[in-house]
Amino acid sequence: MKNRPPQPKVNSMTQTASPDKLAIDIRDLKFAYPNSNEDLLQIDRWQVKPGQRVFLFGESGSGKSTLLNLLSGTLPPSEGEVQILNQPFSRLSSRKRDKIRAKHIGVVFQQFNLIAYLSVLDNVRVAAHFAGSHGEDIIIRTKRLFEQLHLSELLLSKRADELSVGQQQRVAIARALINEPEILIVDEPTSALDANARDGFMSLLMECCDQTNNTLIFVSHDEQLGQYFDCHQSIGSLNLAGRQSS
Amino acid sequence: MMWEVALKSLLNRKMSVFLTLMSLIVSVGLLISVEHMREQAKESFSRTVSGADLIVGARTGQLNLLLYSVFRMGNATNNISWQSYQEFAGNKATKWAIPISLGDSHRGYRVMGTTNDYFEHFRYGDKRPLNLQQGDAFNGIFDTVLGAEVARKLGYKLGDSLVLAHGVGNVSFANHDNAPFKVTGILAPTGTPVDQTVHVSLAGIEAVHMSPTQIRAIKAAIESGETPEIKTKNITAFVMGLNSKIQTFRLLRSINEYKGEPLLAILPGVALVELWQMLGMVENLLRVISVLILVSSLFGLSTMMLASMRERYRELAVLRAVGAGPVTIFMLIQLEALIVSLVACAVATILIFTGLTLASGWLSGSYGLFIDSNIFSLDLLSIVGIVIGATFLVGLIPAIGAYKRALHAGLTAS
Repeated sequence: MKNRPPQPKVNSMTQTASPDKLAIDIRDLKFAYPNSNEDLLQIDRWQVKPGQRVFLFGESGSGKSTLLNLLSGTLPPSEGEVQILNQPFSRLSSRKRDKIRAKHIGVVFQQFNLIAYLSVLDNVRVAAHFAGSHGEDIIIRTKRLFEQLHLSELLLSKRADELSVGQQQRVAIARALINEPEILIVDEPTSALDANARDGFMSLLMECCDQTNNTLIFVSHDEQLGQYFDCHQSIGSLNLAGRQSS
Repeated sequence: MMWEVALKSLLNRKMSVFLTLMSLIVSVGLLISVEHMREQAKESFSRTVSGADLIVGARTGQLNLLLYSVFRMGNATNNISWQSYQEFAGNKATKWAIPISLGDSHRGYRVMGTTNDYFEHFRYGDKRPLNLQQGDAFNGIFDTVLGAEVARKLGYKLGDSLVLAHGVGNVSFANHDNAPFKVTGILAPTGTPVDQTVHVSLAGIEAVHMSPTQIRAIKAAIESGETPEIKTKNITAFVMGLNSKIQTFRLLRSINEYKGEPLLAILPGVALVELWQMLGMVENLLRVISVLILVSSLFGLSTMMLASMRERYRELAVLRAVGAGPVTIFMLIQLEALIVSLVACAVATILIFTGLTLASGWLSGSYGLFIDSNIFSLDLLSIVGIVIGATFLVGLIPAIGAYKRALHAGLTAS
């Protein structure tokens, strides 16, 4: 066993995307809460290529939050499989899924993305901490991201809840991107913003993604925002749960 | 990083954390002080009788004899005759014997009639002898040697004179006015009841209880240069040191079976054990009460943590989103609880230490309690250990809640 030649690392997540690589690959997925026998979510097949920007359209109650939890690995599917970056993500231990989420998936919520009692910088540092990176480097990277997102460096030392909602959402993007994740999951990030701020936010988000070239899963019920995306997907048509019965 | 998050999270809830902290400080402080006082009380009793092999008095309970003869607590039931004393003081096995005569007082301090043997043979602490800080032991009938505290509190110097009162109350209506004593010596502090005792010669005790005419005659004799012989008829008790420990039980039996009068001899160590057993119940009661108070404050801590959980759902979702596992969430909650109780332990320790350091003079002065302010011991360490352990247990309630929440709710923040 000791003299076995070193095997190529198949689970290296930083490989450059080749045509057969997929960012997300969902197969025969079913999800039901343990104490219920009714499926909340059933997806036969859904694939997202690396670098693709998907506008995931869905009303609340369409299984949206369940899908996001499955994609980010905070919930395991009842049946089937979720592959992330060609890894059998949903079959890994929850510990490993947490690790992958920390390093390779950035998440931005509707609102309250930041821990209120921490400074803005600490909020970013917490994200870096779970991805295993420390040190001065983070501050430099954070400042660079802040510049991209048109955020003042002065905000770094402020308590997160002192920022406006628009600023908080932009800090949330910076936090999500600090570990240079391959996948960015964004859930209704503009619902708390007015129209002006919304457009500003969207163009900043798209700029950031242009530079990092990551896969973007953008969830919203606001069809207007679809204009920013080349690929549209309705959760309603994706989710087969409950169809047979009706 | 998690330390930082836990700390800032606590600081974010200053008021409720502060109140919980106060309640914990009080209860941990109580537990530490009860344990410390328990040790100190034992130590204080043990150090008072050291080197004495037997204590002999009139027949009574052995605890009673121990308490009134050595600790100046309570009163003798009866006196014993001088003859009995001489009989056993002259025994071959006896190395030394100190007669003790009690029953009078001076401004609230007990007066003890004895001989100069007392200053020579009495031991306290680690078999330490009594030291005269100033002056000498008594020469004449009306000489007195004061305990350190008596001299300090009442402001007596060598050569001052004082009057004894009959009985041991603070206020007495029968003062031995016509027979004042002169201070010839002041003892160094010992941290035992010796400090609170006025020592006079046995002859002096006999003399003050004589009729005014007899006292006048004695005084006149002293002035004319004679040494009037005053016979001691009774004493209260005597303390003995033996040549060899082996003889202790034989002598003990022969004293207890003495035909001349009913006597009781006790081994101070055995009597102390009986005292501990008696105090043990009180100690345990105090202990149980302070442990229960601690438990209730710990539940307060748990309640405080639990009450904040609902408003922290969003925070947990954010932590989950950036990659924290349920175990990390669990640890964060436990860490917060542990920080609170660690701070409580530290503050309680510091408060008690400084409190005792500042109050030790007052305690020994006003109550004769000699409390060592050094509370840093293995006991303290084990108390802190127990508090930390108990914190972990009550911390499980909110921590497991947060763990489950993190596991099932995932990124859902509502």
